[in-house]
Amino acid sequence: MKMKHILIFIISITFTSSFSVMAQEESTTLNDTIAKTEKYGLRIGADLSKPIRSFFEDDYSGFEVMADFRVSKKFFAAVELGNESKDRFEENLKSSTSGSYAKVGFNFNAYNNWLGMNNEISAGLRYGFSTFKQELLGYGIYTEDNTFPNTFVENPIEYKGLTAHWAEFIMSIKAEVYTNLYLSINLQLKRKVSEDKPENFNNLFIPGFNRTYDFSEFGVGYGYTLSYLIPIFKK
Amino acid sequence: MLKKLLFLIALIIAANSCTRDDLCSEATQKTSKLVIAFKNFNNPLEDKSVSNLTVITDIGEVIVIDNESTDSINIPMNTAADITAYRFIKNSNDSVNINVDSISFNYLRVDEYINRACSFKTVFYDLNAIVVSEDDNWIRSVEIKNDTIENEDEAHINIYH
Repeated sequence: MKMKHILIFIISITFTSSFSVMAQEESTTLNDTIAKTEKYGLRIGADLSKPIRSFFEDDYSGFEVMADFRVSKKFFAAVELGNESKDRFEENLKSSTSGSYAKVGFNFNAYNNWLGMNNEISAGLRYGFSTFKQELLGYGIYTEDNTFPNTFVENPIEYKGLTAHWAEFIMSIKAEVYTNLYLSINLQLKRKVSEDKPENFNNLFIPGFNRTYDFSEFGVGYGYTLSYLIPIFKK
Repeated sequence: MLKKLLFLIALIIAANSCTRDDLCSEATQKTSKLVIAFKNFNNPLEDKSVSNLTVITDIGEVIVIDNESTDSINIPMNTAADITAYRFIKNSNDSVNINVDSISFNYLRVDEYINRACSFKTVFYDLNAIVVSEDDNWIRSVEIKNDTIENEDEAHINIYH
């Protein structure tokens, strides 16, 4: 009984003493991190999902570069520039679209970082603009009858100088994976505001907007971005 | 915030998975057929059935209407040529009273975009019908009611017999 009490005493002494030593050490390192400055500035990057898609999908190629700039503690001005081309070879409709786009807007970071951390969960808005060309390569004529052989017309028509405008809601999660290097995923919900429709055809794909829907003005997209922060400001 | 994000992801997946875009709906007007109404030559306002009517294409002899007694038919037009010729066979089951008349329809074609699932349809304009005359035509006259074939709501042609 006596022995047991002594044991407990020894154990608790060693533990508390070691803890107090550890705590001592930690507090000194903590003092160091507090001294760390907040850094921000221009962040530039590229969407990795588009080159990956270009590699795996024969009928797609595209790239996108982005930049954002912290204008206040929570707000970032953001811009994305890209180029995409997409072929749609359906059985009865073959078309191809290519062009460039720009998206301008802002992100609002809703994530409260611990001191020294630079992660983001943000929501943003963009105005999107695209200029592109669309080619109608061939089409089948839909008849509900096979008295006459089916007609497939291959008479390529090119519709140049088309434009489209849309508004975009973007949500993203950003993490600093290495000093000044960020990885982020984002999801985009878009709504067309206006577009030039080619005569006697339609825009099946709009660069930056993605595929369109015949019965809806909405579109969706995603991105997987690697970006680098040029720390212009430190405080 | 995270919940909202998950909700958005779910919304996007839902929006992507069920769209009407990939199926060409039944209700969509595709390439229209030619609608022919048969009328009484002596009383032009009166519908008059053709007994045992068979309609076949002039080239290839594909049967389009098979031995029907009817006062109205829908027949397809060739979307690859500006002319479609048919043989209209009256009393086709009767070897004695059988009577074959030929009509060739000519027109202009314009292909119109429908949507991504249905692709295109052909609309026929400036329709004209010529009955090949012979000694014993059962078709007395042909009247173009509507020279644009865009839908099947009303007869494009009246045939008087």
